[in-house]
Amino acid sequence: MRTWIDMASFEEFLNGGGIVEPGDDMPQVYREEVFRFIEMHANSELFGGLCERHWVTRAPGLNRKLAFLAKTQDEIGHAHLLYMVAADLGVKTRTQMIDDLMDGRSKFHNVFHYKTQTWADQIVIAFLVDAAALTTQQAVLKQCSYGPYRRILRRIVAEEGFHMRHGEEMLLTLADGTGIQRDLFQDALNRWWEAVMHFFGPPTKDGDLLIRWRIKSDTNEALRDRFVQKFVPMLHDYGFTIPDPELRQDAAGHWHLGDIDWKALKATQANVGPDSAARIALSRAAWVNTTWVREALTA
Amino acid sequence: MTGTRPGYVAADLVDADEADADADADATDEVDADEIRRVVLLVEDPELAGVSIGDLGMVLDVRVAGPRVEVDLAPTFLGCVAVGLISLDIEGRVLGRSPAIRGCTVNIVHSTWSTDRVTARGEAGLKELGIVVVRPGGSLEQALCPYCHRPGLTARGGTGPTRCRTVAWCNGCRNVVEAMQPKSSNHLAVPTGHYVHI
Repeated sequence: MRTWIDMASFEEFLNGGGIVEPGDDMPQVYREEVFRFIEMHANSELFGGLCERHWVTRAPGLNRKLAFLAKTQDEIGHAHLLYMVAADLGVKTRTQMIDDLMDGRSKFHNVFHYKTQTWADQIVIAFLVDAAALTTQQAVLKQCSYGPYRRILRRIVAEEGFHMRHGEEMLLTLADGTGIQRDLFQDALNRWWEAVMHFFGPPTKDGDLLIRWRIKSDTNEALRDRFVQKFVPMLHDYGFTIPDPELRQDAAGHWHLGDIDWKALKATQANVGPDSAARIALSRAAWVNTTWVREALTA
Repeated sequence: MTGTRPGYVAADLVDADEADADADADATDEVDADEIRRVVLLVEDPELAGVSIGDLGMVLDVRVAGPRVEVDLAPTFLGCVAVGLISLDIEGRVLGRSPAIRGCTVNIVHSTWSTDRVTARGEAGLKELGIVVVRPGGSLEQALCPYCHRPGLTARGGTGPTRCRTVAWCNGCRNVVEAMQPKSSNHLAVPTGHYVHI
């Protein structure tokens, strides 16, 4: 176990590239920041799994159903790994985390506060949201200061990359399809683009503790920009329109978004988004209905 | 494990650096069966960064007959959806190898894989990712933590993010570890020789 006499020496350790391990006597504020970050990630994986599960029986064709089944397993599995690391930090037990999530006291990613209306909505999630998640997770993996989180992220990131390939393949099927299929995707893109931009979060404030303590390494703005530079041209290539009238490309080829309205993101952060209540109720039902399985396993 | 066994192409015999260099070579009209084998063995698993399907022991056989290539592939568990992408990757790499190759078929052969097939290099690659290989007949309790190299792993939940892996906790270093399930048929037994053609 390592100890630090004060915050200055702990920060010096972090600035020197130090990795914090579970047995270390880390400052309580650092412990709570790391915990909060991992708990949010775990909650979002769990909601991601529940969201995809809805499409297992609805996805067109056996292969797609199988893929969604496997992805659901992946997301729930990731949540399991993340809750283990989070619980070990000793801020909340796993049960407290689950209770808080299902009582609407915890946060989860904004995209899971909306209803998926069509199959194309789910493809937006499977491709663009997974790509956005991958962008943020890769940035955390790069130099996250908390060892156990970084280690499981290595596996999670590889699997999210696999999901993205699957999402892209589904998108290409629609992009290559009939006018109706292409319209279906364009409609979904129109509905979801703002939420995908919100996914990266509002502009990071100066002195942000997550960055200061190297829990994450890039600002929300930088991550959003990285995503935009890659996916705007790609969606254009596929013949789709980005629903942002102010989107423009400068002489150097760099894409600039119009102003982002943060109102909808604030609602999701307070768990009062368009579908928040239904999603939380769904997760509660999934939890309650499987109580007997957990009891049987531990009997 | 460096030796060959019947029906199994030993990935350990392939020098990765040499094969990577070869991959950049100009495509030729000639079909070199050994080279095709190496190309197949080196296809990376889409979910396990840096670990090849050859080192995972998923490649049962590679047959080159004139302009046609046939690969027998064993998924690490029944119903693995990654085999679709792996098959596409194999096909892409093989067809891109030489214009003389006219076709590539991947047969999915269920129920034949076990961790016995994972090579030493595959085991090392998995360890890098925090995944321990439990051999058939072995147990998690005997395995060493891939991070702190000490015993003391405890199972935590039946399966992990994929059904070929279980989740474990290292009581020593308090890290989340995963373990490869020893057999692909752990969950469901199916007759062997069930082929899916792409």
